[in-house]
Amino acid sequence: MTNLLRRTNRHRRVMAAVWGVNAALALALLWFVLR
Amino acid sequence: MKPLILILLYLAVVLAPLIGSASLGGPPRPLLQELATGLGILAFSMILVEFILSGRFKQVSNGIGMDVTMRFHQVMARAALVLALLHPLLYRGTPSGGPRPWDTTRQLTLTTDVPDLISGIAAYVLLPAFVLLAVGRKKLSYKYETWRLMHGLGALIIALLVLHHAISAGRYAGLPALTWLWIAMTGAAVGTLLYVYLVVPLLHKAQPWRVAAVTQLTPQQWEVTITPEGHEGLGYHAGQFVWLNLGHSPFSLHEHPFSIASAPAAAPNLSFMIKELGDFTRSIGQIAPGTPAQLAGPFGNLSVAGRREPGIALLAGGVGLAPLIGIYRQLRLTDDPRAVRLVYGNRTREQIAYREELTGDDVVLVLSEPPDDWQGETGVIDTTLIDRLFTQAEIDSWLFVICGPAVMMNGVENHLLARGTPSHRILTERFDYD
Repeated sequence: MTNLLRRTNRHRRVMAAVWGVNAALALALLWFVLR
Repeated sequence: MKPLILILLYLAVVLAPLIGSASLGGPPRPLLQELATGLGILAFSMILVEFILSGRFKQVSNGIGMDVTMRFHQVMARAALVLALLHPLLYRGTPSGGPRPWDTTRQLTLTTDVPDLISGIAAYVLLPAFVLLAVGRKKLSYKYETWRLMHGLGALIIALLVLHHAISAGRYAGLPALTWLWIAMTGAAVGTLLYVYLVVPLLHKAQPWRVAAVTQLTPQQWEVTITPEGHEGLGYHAGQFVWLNLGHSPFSLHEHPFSIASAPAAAPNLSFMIKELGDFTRSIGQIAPGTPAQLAGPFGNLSVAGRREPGIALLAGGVGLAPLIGIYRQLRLTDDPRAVRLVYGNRTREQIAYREELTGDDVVLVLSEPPDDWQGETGVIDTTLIDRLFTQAEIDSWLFVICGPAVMMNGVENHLLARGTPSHRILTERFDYD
């Protein structure tokens, strides 16, 4: 499977958004568990 | 919509059930139990939001690009799968089920009775298979219609199974307020399917089109022109694309994405430049004038409307010319004051489409296998050619719109970035997401 967005500028921005969202979700999960 | 607003909206919707569960669900249980439940809650809401990220909603995809929308959909689906797979593994319960003497009111445990879990187990088996089928859809070479139907139906079944599982077995989702929240979210997700497969086709039925002409442009490329029947046509920006359905019922799944090659200024007719590639496009030459057509759109953000750059570079490889010639024609027809340069690469002379139209000084034709008498550029659209055709001032200030094979787009985009073109001045859109 070759991802055609890979290594491009757009891909980097998508992945930055993905990591940002996932980090926020992980923090929310941590808050849920430790509340 | 702006990317940041979309991200915040995404987080708000995905986190709503988790926040609701925390605030309404009473005292927390042991850490692992809560973690397991939290993973399940997040996975379910992420799965439901995937329906909205299907690429069929202009409000989402036209601001950020269809390729970005689909990539986000794909990556978040994988993330949701990981959470869903971990979800049951972290519970510490009695595998045999039945009441536990120390927890007669079942405040502390989820049920482990198989009938209550059967929907969850079914979803647990289906979800990985569903994601794997989606990831490997190219290799499995489905017909596009089969793939779409399978993905839509599969998603519907999984969403309903997980809803049943959450309400019947979930500690939090069993609370009335949260039950209603999950039902509302699942209803909205299922509603997107109804919208895409029922409401949109009905709207299309009311706005029919008809094929006006099918012309062979090159040995493997065709131009299909359609004309509106009893309505004013489509409002769009040059460079956008539509989902086109030629000769099938509006309710069938036979529709494919094509860039509009004609300019909005030449409305109401629309023309498409279509290359024989897949199962549908191979038969494009057999479509007769008069064939009914429907279209959905416009989609895509490959548009130069409203941009303030002094010049526009259109870099096209092969059939990637389609959206760019639309932009080129629009700029010409509207006497746009911005400078424009269209660079169009092909392998052989026979592959050049619209040759008689592309003769101006602002068009650079490039061939990698030129004939002996070729007067234009030779080679491929690469770093050397870019450096020869564009001055540093142009690279710094122009808008670059790129459409073509992935290897060309990657090479050109990376080179422009390295030469100092800011990324917001490079527009690309890809139709092959994986």
